[in-house]
This record gives sequence, structure tokens and C-alpha cells, in this order.
Amino acid sequence: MSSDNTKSKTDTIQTNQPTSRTTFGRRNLLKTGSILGLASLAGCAGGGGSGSDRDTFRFGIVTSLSGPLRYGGQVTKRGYDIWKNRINEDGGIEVNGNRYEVEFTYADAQSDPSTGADATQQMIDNEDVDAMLGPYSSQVPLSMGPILDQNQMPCITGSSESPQLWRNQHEYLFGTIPSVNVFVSEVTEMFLSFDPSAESAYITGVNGPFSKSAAQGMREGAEAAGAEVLGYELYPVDADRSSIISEAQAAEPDVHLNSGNIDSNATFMSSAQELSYEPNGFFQHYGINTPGFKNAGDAAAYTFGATLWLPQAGRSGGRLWGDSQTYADQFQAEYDKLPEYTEAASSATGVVYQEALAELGAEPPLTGDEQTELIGILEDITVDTFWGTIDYESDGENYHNNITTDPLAIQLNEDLDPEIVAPAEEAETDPTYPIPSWSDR
Amino acid sequence: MSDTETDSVRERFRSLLDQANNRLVAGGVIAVLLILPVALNTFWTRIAVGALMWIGLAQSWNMIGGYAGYLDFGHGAYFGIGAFATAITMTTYELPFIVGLAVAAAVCATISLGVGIPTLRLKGAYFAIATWAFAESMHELALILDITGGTFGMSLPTGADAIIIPFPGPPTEMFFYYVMLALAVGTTILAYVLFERSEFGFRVKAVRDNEDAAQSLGINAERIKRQVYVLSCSIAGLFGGANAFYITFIHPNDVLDALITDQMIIMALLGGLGTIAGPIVGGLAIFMLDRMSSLFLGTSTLYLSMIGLLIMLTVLFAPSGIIGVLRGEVGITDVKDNVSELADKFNFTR
Amino acid sequence: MVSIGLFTQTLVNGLLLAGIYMAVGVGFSLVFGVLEIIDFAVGQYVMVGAFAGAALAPLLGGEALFAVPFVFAAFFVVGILVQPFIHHVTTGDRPMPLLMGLVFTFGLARFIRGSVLTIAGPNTRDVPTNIAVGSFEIPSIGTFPTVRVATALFGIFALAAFLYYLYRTDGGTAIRSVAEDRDISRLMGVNINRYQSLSYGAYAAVTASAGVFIGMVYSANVGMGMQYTGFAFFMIVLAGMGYLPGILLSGLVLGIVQSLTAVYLGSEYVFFILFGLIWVLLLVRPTGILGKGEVA
Repeated sequence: MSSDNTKSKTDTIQTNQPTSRTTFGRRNLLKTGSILGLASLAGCAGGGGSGSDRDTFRFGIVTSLSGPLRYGGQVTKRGYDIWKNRINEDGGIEVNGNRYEVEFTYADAQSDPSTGADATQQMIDNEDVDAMLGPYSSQVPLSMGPILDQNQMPCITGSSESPQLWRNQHEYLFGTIPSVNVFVSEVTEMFLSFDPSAESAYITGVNGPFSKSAAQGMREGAEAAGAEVLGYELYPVDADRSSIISEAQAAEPDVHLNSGNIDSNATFMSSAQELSYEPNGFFQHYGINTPGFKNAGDAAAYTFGATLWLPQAGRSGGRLWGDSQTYADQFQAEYDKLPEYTEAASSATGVVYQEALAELGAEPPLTGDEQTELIGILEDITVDTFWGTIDYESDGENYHNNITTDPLAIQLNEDLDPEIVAPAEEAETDPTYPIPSWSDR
Repeated sequence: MSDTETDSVRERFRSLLDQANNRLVAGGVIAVLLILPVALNTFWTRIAVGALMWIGLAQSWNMIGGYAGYLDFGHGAYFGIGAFATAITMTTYELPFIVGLAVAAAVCATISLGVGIPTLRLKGAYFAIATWAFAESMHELALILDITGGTFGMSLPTGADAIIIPFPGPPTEMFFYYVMLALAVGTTILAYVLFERSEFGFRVKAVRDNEDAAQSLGINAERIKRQVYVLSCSIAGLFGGANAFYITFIHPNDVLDALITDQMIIMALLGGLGTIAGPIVGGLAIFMLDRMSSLFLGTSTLYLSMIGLLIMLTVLFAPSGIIGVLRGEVGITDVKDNVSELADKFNFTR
Repeated sequence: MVSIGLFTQTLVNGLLLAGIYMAVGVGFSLVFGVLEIIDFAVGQYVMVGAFAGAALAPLLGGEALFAVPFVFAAFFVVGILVQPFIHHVTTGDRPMPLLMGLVFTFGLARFIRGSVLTIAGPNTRDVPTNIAVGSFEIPSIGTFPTVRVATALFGIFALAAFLYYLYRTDGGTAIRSVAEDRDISRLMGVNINRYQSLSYGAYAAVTASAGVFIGMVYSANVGMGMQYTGFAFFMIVLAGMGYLPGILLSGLVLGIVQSLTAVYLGSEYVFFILFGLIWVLLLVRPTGILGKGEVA
């Protein structure tokens, strides 16, 4: 007892630092307790395992619902959800004359590859899913790849545009949207050929994996169009735009090409207006036809952009939604906004699964062998959808990426609505080029 | 129960645990941990891998922050440096994982020595800001350099040939579990032996409590600080390297993120600074809170505010962390005194 | 590519940036001097101010400038209420008061950020203004966007006002004495609680108001806070910790270095150089460029 008294005295005197007498017993008690707790949880969770009796197709969705990529996460969610709602209204996916409804289970990747990887494992082990739908961005799917391959779980992402993903050649991962450098360079070429065709271009972009690839695509397109690239500057997303714009201004290019996310591009346009920077036209990727870009106010008007789909694109075909306009109307009714190409691509991915599962001819739940067979089918099929034609490559640099959909050049009119201006066969109207100067607006 | 009765019950409980055969209990727990993967499915094994890693990271920060009293706000940089060192070793030079880990530790030890010598001369807030600035500049550097992949990040090999010992296939979650287990248990035991059971520990704590006095007693404070700093940074580097191989894709925005340091600090603080059990408890608690909320609650931005609130409350009412609470250092009377002192500060008329 | 026009415009851009940073640095420096804490939440006050501007502007005829007085008043009160908590964790019988203060403000920053994210959602908000629009040109110098000029003027005004108060009023003298030695000031009859709360309140008010301006320049986004925390750190290190007039110099350095680096070295290097500079400065000259800061 006396030792205890001494201890409490020293406690009151030495308050500058925590008492550091460890008690092995307590510490290990905690350790044991928590691990046993975990293990029992595992037992419960692991119990709801595979091979359960169900007559629905169950999809696991890993996407970033929080963190810096949450905007994209919401985009994919809307696209996937509207497909599920629509197809369940129809009765479900049709296989061998029977219809099977669709169920979703979501997990948040928190914009972090490590969380995304864990979430993928959760889908595979605990959630008993037949197949998966993937996230926005490239970082998260990059870490999902090995896990999908190891566990033979098919996954299509409706949204990633990064070429890096396909270079890693993951067997069980597919992507509906063409790599950004591929389609952006095509649209850049279109843009540079508007009359009077541009002889020089200045390229800037946010220094991030997606926008850097987009900027590379812009450079490829500019060089293919025979224009001189006067400058190529990548900047941190937080950087102030005024220096970048002043530098571009000094070079006096015919056109300016910039890549980044929506907010970044809106800020760019506002700064350009402030500094009275006036090339013949601005080309921004990505997001000029999203609500967020409108934060730039009247600075946003007449900006050119690239897209893979718009409601007014005269595309049709495929199951569920006959054509683009029907899809757009339903989307507007459900979410009170017009869909942009990423949301539409996510929904189109659902349609691809419909076709593939019909061809597979297997009932849910899918076995491992059936899932592997599904991969072969996804590689082989060509699906016509309201979004466009989807055909995943089976080899090469764009392995498992769909590069067949045709890109479109768009321009915002003075009401900030997007209009298709190229290629000629799909164009709604002629481009306004050169764009009106800032003072004339 | 009156205060004295509660105290004596607590004391009895405490001494009971102290008297338990420590080595035996510790051995028992380690035995359980060794066979745990058998009982868990892959998903829970992944969770365990993450938990072990963060416990180890929190322990490493606790060495420099809790025991030595130097607030390292840039500790996470070494996690990232270790990650890239391992990645470069394994991809550009195609060397196996174990070499990658060794390189990670060596690189971090070297860099932390070079950084530590000048930086440890600073005290308190200045040291905190300096280490923070150093870490952020490393983050930016990794985004610029080509060898780290620049803004595209780096992918690590995933094949079985990346490990020296012949493996039947690519490394599984179980492999990583044992790697992290070895690192976490090793770090904990090392911390215990060094800081709780040796002269070295006394000297470190003396430096923390009063550096000038310690110096006047003949303790070479410079050397002690440096040793602790280099050790703790190298350990963070090891975890960084192991983690890189585990998640197979690293990017400066993820592995050199300031959030990593923040989390280490919160875990050590919440658990209990300057204790061995603190980082274990804090690491486990915060990691589980974070992972479980994102995986099972779907979208949850609320947990961000909750963590912030939790940190503030811990600092206000339980600065010696959960371990402090469990040890009885924060009783009802303590909290009451605390609150009344706090209320005092709202008094603007005095 | 060294044209004079580009060079002067770059300087102009840098100067205007400096004004923005001064607005953020001024309160932060005061708080460090008086309360001796490094407030991790500084960037979040900027962020909340921007969102407050976005929310109030529609109620004030779509003009965020009118929101500034309201934001100022509201955050003054908030600051007064928060200060006692900070005072409490950095004093008294607790281990490692400095760490506690830092971590507390860190928790505060997280809490503010999480709350705004939950309440306002993840989307970027426009902070509208119809008065501070457009730009004006001064021939052979450059183009001056109006909204940035307004922000810079606010920054300079805030700095001047603070300096005036500190050096020319009784209240200011009291605050300076608390900054120099809290215990002796208390013994001399200065009401510690009151002046510390005033300081923190003023800091929160000015920083949040700066946030409204910054929102007008850049728009309001939940993630915008962190970089201002970084800039604030940079500024007080450069200025010398606790030396308020130094903010003028460090704001200028920060703005101009950023601008020049972006144009003449490459934008990728800007933040690397900035953070590297902070680190090196602390190692070689912790009392700031002018040597007037508190000793490390």
C-alpha cells in the first residue's frame, strides 16, 4: 500500500509529462479484447458469404463519395442509379427468357486508393456481388486492378479517362470512356481547323494525372493540325492563374488550350477575362457544359470543349433507352439537370452489362467460371447504345478501353448552352470563331 | 462510491494487472495474432493489415513526439520517402521486396540524419513548422521529379518473383499481414525496450522534461534527439515501403499527404502520449472509425467533423489520452476542476 | 521571352497577390504574438468567410461586398467565444501545452471543414459582386483586375488599422504587453482574458472578412483553406514570429516570388520553392528576414 501512496504523490507533482509506467497486463487485455471483437465481427460478416440463393443480379460499386473526387463519385452514382431504376421498372435484366432484377451495394473509396482497394475486397468477400462498377479518376482503379484480377471479379468503370489504367493490362478491368489523350487530341485537331485555321497554340493544364494526359492529347492534336505550340505549362491546382495567363498573353497565340477539372477551368476563364486575354478562342477540357463551369459567369460564353456525348447527339440504339433525347429527358426528370457525357457513359455501362449477361446466359448468382467467361464476352461484343458504340479493345495500349465512340467538339453559346460544332456530320451549328472580344459581350 | 473508495478499487485493479505475468500475456496475444489470418476472410485481413500499419506508424511518431517531446509535423514525409524508395528499387532496379524495404530504411535514415542535424536545433513551434515545411516540399518535389513518376505516380510489381522466397503465386493479403505484423510488433517491442526499460529511455524523457537541466546533468541532448529522430523516421520509412508493395500504386498526393502525419499524431495523442499502449489503442480506434464509417455507412462527411470534435475534446478534458483515462488519471473531480477553470477564462471582468 | 510588358504585369500580379496574403497574415501574426499559438484553423476561417459571403450575397442584392461588415461582426463574436478554449489548453497543469494548443487548433480546423462540407455540400460556390468587376489598365504597367485591387486594399487597410490600434491606443498597448509577458501584465492589472479574446476575435473577424474577398477573386470551395494555412505559416516565419509590421514585407515576398517563379521558372516549382524556403529560413534565420521576430 505504501508504494501506491508514493505513486499518487508523484502523480500530482510530476504533471508535466504523462506517467509512463506501462502495465503490460492492461495493454494486452485491450489488445486481446479488440482483436477478439474484430474476429467475432469477422465471423458474423464472413457468414453472409457466397452461393446464397438469390434471383437478382447484385453489383458492387466502389466510387469516391467523399474526398476531393466526390464530385466525380456523385456523377458515377447518378449514372449507375438511373440505369438500375430504369431496368428494374422494366422488370430486370433478361437472360434466357427470364428477368432478373438488379441490386446495388455501394462503398466509398474516399478518393484514396488504399480505401478503394479495401472496399473492393469487401465487395468480393462480404457482399456477394456478381460484378462491379467502378469509380471516377484513375488512382483508385489502379489499386483495384490487382485485387480484381486475383479474385476474378469483373469490373467496368463508367468514368475513368486516364491512359495509365490500360497500360497496366488488368484482365478484369474495363473502361467505357476512351482515354482522354485519344479523344482530346481528335477534338483539338477539329478545333484548330476552324476557319481561319490556327497557326499557333498555347497549352496549359493542371499538373494532375488526368489533366496532364489531357494536355498531352492537346499537344498531339495541335501538332497533328500543323500548329506551332508556343508554350506548354503545367501548374499546381492551387496556383494563381494570373501569372500563367500573363505569360500566355505575352506569347500571343492564335488559340489557347487548357485542361483541368471544372472549378479550375472556370477560374481560368474568370482570370482570363480580368486580364483581358484574347486569343481567337479557348478550348477547355473538362466540363464546360456542367453547372459548375457557369461560376465563371459571362466569361464562360463561347468556350470550346470536347465531349463524347450530348443529349442532342443524334445517336440511338441499344436496349432500355432508344436514343439520346429519351435518356436526357428521363435523367432531367429524375435529377433536375441535364446529363453530361460521364453520367451517360455510366448508364451506358449498365446497358453493356445487360447485353453481356444476356449472351452469357447464366442465372445469378454467378460462379467464378461464369465471371471469367464474362470477361471473354466483354472483350468480344460490340454494343450499340444511346450513348454510342461501345467496343472494348482486347490488346494494345488501350487494352480493355473503349475507343470507338466518336468525340464531338462543342461550344457554349451566349446563353451558356452547349452546341455541337464539329464534326460536320453531327454539327448543330457553325462555330462562332474567332470569339467576340471581352468588351463586346 | 466516494472518491477514496473508487481510488482504492482502481488501485487494486491496477496492481492486479501489473502483477499478471507480463511476458506470458504478451506471448499469448502474439500467438493469437500469429494465427489470426486463418480465422479472417480476405477483407478482414486487409483491415487488420491497415490497423497494424497505423499502430506501427503511431508508435514511430510517439517516439519523437511523445517520448522526446519534439513535435514532428512532417513525420509522414518519411512514410512517403520509404514508399518511393521501395518503388524505385523494385521497378527501376527490379530488385526484390526485401531489398526494397532495406533501401527504404537506409534512405530514410540518411535523409532524416541530414535533416535532423540542423532542424533539431529548433524548439517547440519552430521545429513543428520547419518539419511541416520540409514534408510539404518533399511532396512537391515528388510531383516534379521524373524518377518518382511525377504527377502520374508509380506502380509496383505484383508478381511472385518480387519476393526472394519462392512463393506459389503473387503475394496475398496474408503475406502482407505477416509483414505488417512483424513490423508492428517489432516496433512496439523496440519502443518498449528502448523507452521503458532502458537507460536510454530515461535520458530521452529527461530531455523532454527539461532539456537544459538534462544537458547540465551531462546528457548529450543533441545526440539523443538525433538518435530518436533517425530511428523513428526509418521505422516510418519501413512502413511506407511495405505499404507501397501492398497497394501496388503510389502517388505523392496519397503517400506524401499531410493527412498521414496528422493521423499519426491524433492516434498517439488520443491513445496517450509517451506510453506504449497509447499508439496501439489510438491507432486501432481511429483507423477502425475511419474505415468502418466509409465502408459501412456509405457516404459520411460527418465523420470529419466528429474527428475534429473528438480531438478538441480529448485535448480539453483528457490530454493524456485513453490510456490516461483507463489509468484513472482523469476522474470526475478532474473533469469538474477542468471545466471550472475553463469557465473562468470566459470571465472578462477580471 | 523577357519582354518588359510581361515583367511588369508579373510584378503587378505579384503585388496584388501580396495584398491578398497580407489580409490573411495580419490577424494570424497578432494571434501568434499574443496567444503564442500557431492557429492551424486560419485557412478554415478564410474558407468559412468565403462561404458566408456566398450565402449572404443573395440576401444583399447579390453583392458580396455588403456582406463583409456582417461577416466581420459575426466572426468577431465567434473568435471571442473560441479563445478561452485555446487559452485553457495552452496553460495550466497539462503536459505539453504547446502541442495541445497546436493539436486543438488542428481539431478545430477539421471540425470547421467537416461542418461546412456537411452543411454546404461539396460544390464550389460563386461569391458574386457587381461592384468590383472588370479591370482597369495603366498603360505600360499592366492590367489591374478590380476585384483583386479591392482585396489588396482591404489587406493594406487591415494591416494599417491593426498597427494603428496596437501602437496608438491604450487597448493596443495592453495587448502588446500581454504579448510580451502575460504574467507581468496580469500583475500590472491588465485584464488578460479580455484582451486575449479581443485579439482572437479581431483575428477571426479579419481573416473571415478576407475570406469574403478571396471568395470574390477565386470562388468558395471547401478545400481552399489548406493553402492559406500554408501561406500564413510562410508569412510569419519570414516576417519574424510575432512581429506584425513584418507582414507587409513577407506578403510582398510571397506574392512576388510566387508570380516570378511561375512565369520565369515554371509553375510546377512554385510550391516546392515556397515550402523549401520556409524550412531553410527557419534553419538559418528563425527570427525572420528583418531579425525582429521572437527568438526560436
